[in-house]
Amino acid sequence: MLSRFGREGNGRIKSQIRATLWNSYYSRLNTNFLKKTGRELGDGMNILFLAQIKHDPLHGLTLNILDIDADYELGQLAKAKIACIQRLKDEGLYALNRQLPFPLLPKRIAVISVESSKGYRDFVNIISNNTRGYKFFQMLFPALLQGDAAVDSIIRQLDIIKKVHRHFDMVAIIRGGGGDVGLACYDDYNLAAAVAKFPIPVISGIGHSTNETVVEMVANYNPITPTDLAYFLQQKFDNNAVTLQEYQNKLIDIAENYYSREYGRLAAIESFAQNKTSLLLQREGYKIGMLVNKLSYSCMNIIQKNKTSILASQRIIVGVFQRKINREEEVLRALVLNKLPFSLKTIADKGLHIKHIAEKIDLLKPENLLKKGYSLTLLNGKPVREANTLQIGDRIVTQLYKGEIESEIINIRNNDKRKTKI
Amino acid sequence: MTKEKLKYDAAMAELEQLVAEMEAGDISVDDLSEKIKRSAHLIRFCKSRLKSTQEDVENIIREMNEEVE
Repeated sequence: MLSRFGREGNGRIKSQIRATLWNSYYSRLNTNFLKKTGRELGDGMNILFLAQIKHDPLHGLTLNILDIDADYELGQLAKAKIACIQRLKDEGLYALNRQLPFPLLPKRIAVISVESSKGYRDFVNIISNNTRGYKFFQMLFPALLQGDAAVDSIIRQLDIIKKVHRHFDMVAIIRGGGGDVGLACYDDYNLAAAVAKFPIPVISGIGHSTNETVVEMVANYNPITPTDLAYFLQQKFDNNAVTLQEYQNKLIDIAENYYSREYGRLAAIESFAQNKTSLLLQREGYKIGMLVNKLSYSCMNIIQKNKTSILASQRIIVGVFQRKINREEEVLRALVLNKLPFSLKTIADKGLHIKHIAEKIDLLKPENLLKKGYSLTLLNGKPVREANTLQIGDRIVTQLYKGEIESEIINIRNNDKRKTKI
Repeated sequence: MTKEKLKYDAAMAELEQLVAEMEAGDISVDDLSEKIKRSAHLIRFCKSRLKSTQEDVENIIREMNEEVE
């Protein structure tokens, strides 16, 4: 490996000397350097090294690098980082992205990542398989995420996203795996400035265990790992769901309270109206009652008055009749007193006549007739008066003065001759 | 009714405002029922936004290609 040693002042090289890092040293020193600083030895680095000075008659003075002080590089990096932060602050960029309000519902995410990286897969897994059924929209903008080439690659994707940023709520820079190696790009001024100036919030999920990088500092939010980023977004959704539920409950409470209050008011008005009405009705009822009483009293009076006059008329009529009757009685009495003796004699004559008639009737009694030899013919218990009421074969009973005979009719003649078979 | 284009943040802000107004009370039954209807609509919308997404990917890609030569 050929290295050039120089000293810069005002951008010009004042002097230079060749220094060589032989392969046999390189791999050991590079590994050590990477372990300590997180980056490999590369072009343009200022390093502090231990070298052996060699002089060759052909090539002149050269240095053979034996060891490199990684701590010096760390110091350089730290200095560069501080300078970068200061520059961002001086230019008023540092807090720009952090000042953007984070969307209430971060649904649409432009992801800058590598499709095959573990961090990206973890992130997608969590946000697309959440048990609560939240739906995120994420679109991958592939970029290199570590090493020096990452700066341009990420900036390029940020530029593309900027064109369509109204379709997104936020940008997520997701790096998974790779440990703390290759993170120096995130301290780069250009990248940090691009993130800081980005019109929508940028969230970093770069995943490391060392100090925060400048990009993470200027990002709107830094959950550090891709997994945490995914959970952070899910949490935002949860918060929204809870808030909505609270509003829903509140709404129900308000409506219930309001309506029960209104019902109460209506009920109060109703009962007030009812009371008023019943009071009014009571008063009117009382008035009507009074009127009815008055009316019936007046009627009674009128009836009583009429009754008295009717009675008077009745008495007059009765008096007239009574006098008439008395007069008639007088006439009758006079008549009886004058005519009765004649009437009594007539009654005695009539009695005698009746006695004669009774004697005659006695002679006509059936047993007296039977005694004289007459008989009574009965059909079915009823007397037979004419032969034509009988039929041949009828059974007749003949009652004599003493005993009776039963006969069957064998012939009927409608004159006096008759023949019966006994 | 014209179809409005609601945004989640705007819907949430409106919902907050409506709930605050209703909590303050002093509104008529007619207003309340309108506000409740609107709030329920907003809640439904916000809830549906949690669980649905309708970004037009083709549109995004077309826009990206248009402006990045």
